[in-house]
Amino acid sequence: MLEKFKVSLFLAYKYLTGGNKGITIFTIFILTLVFLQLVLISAILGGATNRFNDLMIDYQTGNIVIEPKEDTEYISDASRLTSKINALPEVTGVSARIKGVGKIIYVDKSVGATVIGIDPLDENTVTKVNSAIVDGDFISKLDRGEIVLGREISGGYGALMESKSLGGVKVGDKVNLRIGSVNREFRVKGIYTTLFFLVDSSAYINKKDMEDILGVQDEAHEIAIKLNPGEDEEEFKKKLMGIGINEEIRVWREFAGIVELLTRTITQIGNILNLIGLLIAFVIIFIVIYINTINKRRQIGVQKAIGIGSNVIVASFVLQAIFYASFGMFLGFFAMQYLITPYTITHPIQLPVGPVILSLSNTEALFRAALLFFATILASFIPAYMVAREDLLKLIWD
Amino acid sequence: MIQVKDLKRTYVVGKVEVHALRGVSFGVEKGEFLAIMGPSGSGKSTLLHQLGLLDTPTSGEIVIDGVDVIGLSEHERTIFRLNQLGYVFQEYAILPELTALENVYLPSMMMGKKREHYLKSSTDILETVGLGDRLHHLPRELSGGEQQRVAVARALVNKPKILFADEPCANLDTESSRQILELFKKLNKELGQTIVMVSHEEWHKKYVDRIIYLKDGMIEKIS
Repeated sequence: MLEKFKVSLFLAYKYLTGGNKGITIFTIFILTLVFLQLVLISAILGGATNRFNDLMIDYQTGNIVIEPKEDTEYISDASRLTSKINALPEVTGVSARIKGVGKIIYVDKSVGATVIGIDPLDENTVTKVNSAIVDGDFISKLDRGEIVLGREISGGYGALMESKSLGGVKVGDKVNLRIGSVNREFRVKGIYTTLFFLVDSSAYINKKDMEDILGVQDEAHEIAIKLNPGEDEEEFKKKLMGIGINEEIRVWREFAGIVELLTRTITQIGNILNLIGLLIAFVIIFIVIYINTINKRRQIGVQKAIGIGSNVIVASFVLQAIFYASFGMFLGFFAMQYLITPYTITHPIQLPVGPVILSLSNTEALFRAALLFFATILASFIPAYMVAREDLLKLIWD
Repeated sequence: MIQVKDLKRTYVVGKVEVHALRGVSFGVEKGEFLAIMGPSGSGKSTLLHQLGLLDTPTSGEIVIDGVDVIGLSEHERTIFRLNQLGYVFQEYAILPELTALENVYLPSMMMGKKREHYLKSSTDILETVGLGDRLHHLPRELSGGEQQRVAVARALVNKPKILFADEPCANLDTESSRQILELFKKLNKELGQTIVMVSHEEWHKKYVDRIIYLKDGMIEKIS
């Protein structure tokens, strides 16, 4: 068995080194591109997923969110709980929020929105909404009667759902906020966009204003917690439960339903594109090996005549194809890992959800490589087998 | 060494049956240098292909060194060819990507022999055929006669029981042809190599022990 493999390897090596260099280089180049296409989709998807996750953590939930117990509308004594959590060493920041679902009205247009009442200083320790301002300023601790709108509410600034927005509210304009039966006028202090429509469909006001509207004091609908980099969220959740916090404690992923949906959709599109890439690789390898075997018909016949088994001959062509694919994959992986990915760190790809840095896990790269490897073996085996099983006299003389 | 009995080979070309061999019987002794001669279309090459297990006869019997080779499976025929037989074809049927030495040791490599063993035996046989100074040359760097001598060396490297040669001088000039035939004669006389050769050149007769003349797929005479 080993000696047969050695002969196959020897023949494959001689065909490669003695054969047409141009064809070898062309085939490797094409397979490098195919491998890049396979992993690039995966890497963009990985990068986009990271971007979505970052958007959730940086602009919406932080790492952990505490919500009221079931059948309870508010977390009471919010400032005491906030101080308690803030004292924990794993914590970067804590923000207690009061949310009101209502209507924002501007002239003759109105938009339904979730308005979040925050302490701006606390909120800035948890999220980066203050840095996403595209016009005006974020609200400050002492501001009253001021509101910051996401671009999907204000309209303009590239809003995706312009027709459902207020149609171009500007900083300084007055809008009315109606929550329940309470109607208050607010001055637009700033407009923000994270480029992610879910986050951009909210509005922020000072917590004091929201407390006035809802008629509550020191209560919160949720407490968002930002952890130090590298902290394990699940472990911290257990720690919170351990120190007697009886409210609902959730990790940010539990709020990422829509993001999951988007990720899965992109994954499926990616899989279809990968399938096309694999088919291209299959056809290229098939054609290269087919032409190779047709050109070597007489040689194959002679090899059979002198006692070289058909399986050894087939294996020699499959090994050639494996070399093409392996070299192509190596070059593709090298280009991806050391050229393209580092380049996107300094020059991120600008997608509608924002700048995306490619992210390719080794598992994903290995999986794509295995797929390409399998396609290569199959695509080379078929033409080689077709020729090698022919009658040897026909091979030699026809 | 070889016993052939009532050997027939019929090809079907479209709807026409071509009787290439119509019942051939003869024997070949060990150490004999036999020539198969006859006009074009007489069945010379067809007979050689049957004896050399390159083709399967329609009917008849071939026994080589006591083995009924007709009953062998395709895999067994491949092994038999590798271990027991050697071939020299009309054209220089050596692999263009391999050097002379590599072409020669390929069958030994296939047999699983050790590298040092097949390197030595291949070098020795190439020296025997007069190509000791051409070991690492590619076929395109060799003349037609030299390429055919590489093919002879490859055929002999595993010390086959029988060497089959199908018009080995067909593409060679007279001088190269003479060298090949003298080489065959030398191998036959000095090593006792059994050789079965197809030829249509009258002047080749002087090199062989016996000649089977074929005509229309049958033996016309043996001399």
